[in-house]
Amino acid sequence: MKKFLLVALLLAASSALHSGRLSAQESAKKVIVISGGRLLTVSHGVIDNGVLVMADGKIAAVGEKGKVSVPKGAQIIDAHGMTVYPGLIDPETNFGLMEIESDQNSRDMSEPSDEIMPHMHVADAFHAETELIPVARLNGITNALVAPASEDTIAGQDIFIQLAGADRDAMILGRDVALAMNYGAEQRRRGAHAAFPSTRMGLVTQLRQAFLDAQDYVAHRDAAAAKKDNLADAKKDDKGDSKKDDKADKPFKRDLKLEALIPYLKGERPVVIGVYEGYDIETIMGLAQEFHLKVVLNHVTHSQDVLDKIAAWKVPVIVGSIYDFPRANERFDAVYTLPAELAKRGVKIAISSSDADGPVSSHSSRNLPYTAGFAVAYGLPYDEALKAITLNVAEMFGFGDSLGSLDVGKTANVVIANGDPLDVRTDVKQVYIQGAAVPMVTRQTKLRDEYSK
Amino acid sequence: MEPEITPKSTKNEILDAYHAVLKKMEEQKQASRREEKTRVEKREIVAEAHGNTMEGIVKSLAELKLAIGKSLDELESQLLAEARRLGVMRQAFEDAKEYVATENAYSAKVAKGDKDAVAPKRDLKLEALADVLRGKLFVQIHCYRADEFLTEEAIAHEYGYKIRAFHHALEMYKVADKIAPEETAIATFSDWWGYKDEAWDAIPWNAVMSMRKGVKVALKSDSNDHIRRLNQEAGKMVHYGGATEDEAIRMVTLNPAWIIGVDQQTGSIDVGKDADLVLWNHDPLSTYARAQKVYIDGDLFFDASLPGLGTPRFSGVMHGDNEQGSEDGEDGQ
Repeated sequence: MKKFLLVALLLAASSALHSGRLSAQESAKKVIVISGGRLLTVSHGVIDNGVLVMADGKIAAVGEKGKVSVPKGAQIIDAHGMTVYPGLIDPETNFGLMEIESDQNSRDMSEPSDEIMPHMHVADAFHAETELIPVARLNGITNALVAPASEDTIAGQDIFIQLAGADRDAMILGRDVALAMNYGAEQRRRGAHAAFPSTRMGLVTQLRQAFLDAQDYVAHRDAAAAKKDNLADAKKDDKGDSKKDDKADKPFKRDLKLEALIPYLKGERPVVIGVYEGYDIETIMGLAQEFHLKVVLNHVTHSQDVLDKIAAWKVPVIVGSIYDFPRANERFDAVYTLPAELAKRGVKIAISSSDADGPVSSHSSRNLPYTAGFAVAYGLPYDEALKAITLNVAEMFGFGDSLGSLDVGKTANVVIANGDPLDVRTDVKQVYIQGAAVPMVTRQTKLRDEYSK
Repeated sequence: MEPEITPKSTKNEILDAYHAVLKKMEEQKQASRREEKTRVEKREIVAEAHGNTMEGIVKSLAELKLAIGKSLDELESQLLAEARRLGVMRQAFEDAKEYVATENAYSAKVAKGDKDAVAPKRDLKLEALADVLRGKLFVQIHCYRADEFLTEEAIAHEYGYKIRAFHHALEMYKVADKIAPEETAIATFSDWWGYKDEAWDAIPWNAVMSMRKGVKVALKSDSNDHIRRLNQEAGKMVHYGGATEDEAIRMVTLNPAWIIGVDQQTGSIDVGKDADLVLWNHDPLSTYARAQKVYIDGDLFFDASLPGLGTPRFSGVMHGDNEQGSEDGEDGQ
């Protein structure tokens, strides 16, 4: 019996090792203290020679060494000479929607059957066991937004994930956290699909109609509900009177597409609008304001002429890919400098990990910190760069209270690295998610180790 | 003479038959060599050769056996096609060898003062291949997988040429110890992976692991994006595998120069070399490094302090619009 138990434990341990799966019990058990490192708190500056206590999956204490009490029996991690910072958050990925780009079978990126698909949920397709997630996690990415590809004006609803967890449901921290919208040249379906708009004016008209229909739907639904209530009341009063009109009894027919738009019309959740050109930004912001949408702009690659307007609208922006190519009439560093130019104007920014030229590829999510570092090279203050891949992203998607900085009470997603997290030469030594050490193992490290023997 | 093949023939019997056909084919080719127009472009040969390993042939023959029932004619034509493919590759190098021999004989006659010597007819295709055999033309092979490197080296051995570099070479870390003695270098990515099946085993430690086993390594961009920050790709090698700064910077300077064969002219700061120099504001392996000035042959080609495009050399457009700068697809705006 004892032997059997041991085997079972070993099996459990090895399974956790390979997949990085964490159970709630596992994270809750241990109290871990990271001691002596340089803490980049993001929210309240840098603490040299700091101490961070993780318990019950959360940050229990953070401060200067000597001023933080270390619980008895805690596991102490010596982090002298190391840098400690909150887990990084990638604001735009397609984790679990694509494994190998050239393999059609592994692609769940976009749905070609319709153009307006607010009722489509990334949560339904998210393949949590993707090999891409451990690879990104190894470089300190602990959370991410997952969105569909950008081929449609309303492509579906995004999820917000944690890059470790017992299963899909444990990894999805937020379902339908944002509406994925796109506007510009890319969404025009020239020729191939006559049923869909092939001009910008067609795209905007279709979008406006969708939001008007949703408003109309709300009105009808509310009216039907009121009528039903009245009817119920009337029935109570007038027992046996069957002369009421039949229509009132007909149940209100639900429309998932229009229903899905309601939270966004109410401004309860953000719409993330992928848009590149200054003039497209002006058009789509006009529409967004018409319906009082809560907007997060995405890309804004060639928007140098409307930066002041973006600041005046007070909308947050996901900048990137900052590696995108400048136009012939733009300066060579016109896109590299966008994060700096936006931050200078007081715009809250996030920076995305994608490479230039083409769709987002989550294979390069692990390069997120270097992208932020490159924005620093082109004028973005360091603190802003770090925020743009941690706290700002958390705040954009409603996780500002639980993620994005080293603060007491927040989820203990913490990274230890041997230097500046934004520098390409830096090596991440350990990642903690929900206060538990994630195995620093991926398919790639296994290959490395196998062929290093 | 040729063994008879039936649906009941064993794999070895089919293979024997295949060899017999092959021999016949080659004899025919010897006879009609002059007339034969052979495609000898290096890339094609390499591609052809790639599909013709002994294992591959045996495997395809085994598959062939299953389909044999219908007609033996079909078998014959398939065998002939196989033989033709192998023949094309071999023939190309045989032709190239003969071409070299003829050229050498002519040169020897001229050197002796033989005024009656007739210059052999020039054949540009064979000349290129002959230069491969003479070691004058570097062979650069685009491939990904460990087995592909081994196959290519085997073919190179058979015909006596050297492979200068494998490009992409994402799985070199698996067989670097076998490739190092061949002195074949690699030009690989720092951390690109997973975009297709051949890139599924790509790991960011490939460059440094291969280097530690004695393979000369260059880092490539293969991208109009990554080429603008190739210095950072080198910087990643400090992270992935612990390259020294000197080893990392060589991967984007002297080592690629060697692969192209210009390492005597450029790739390091040495007296007498071309003045191809960059002034950085920071350690070039850092994320924060920006090129301030770029000199090519001693001329200032880029200066970050200048307005606009940052170049004193051109006033026109330096980069294409529709190809790379636009999200608008095929029709610009």
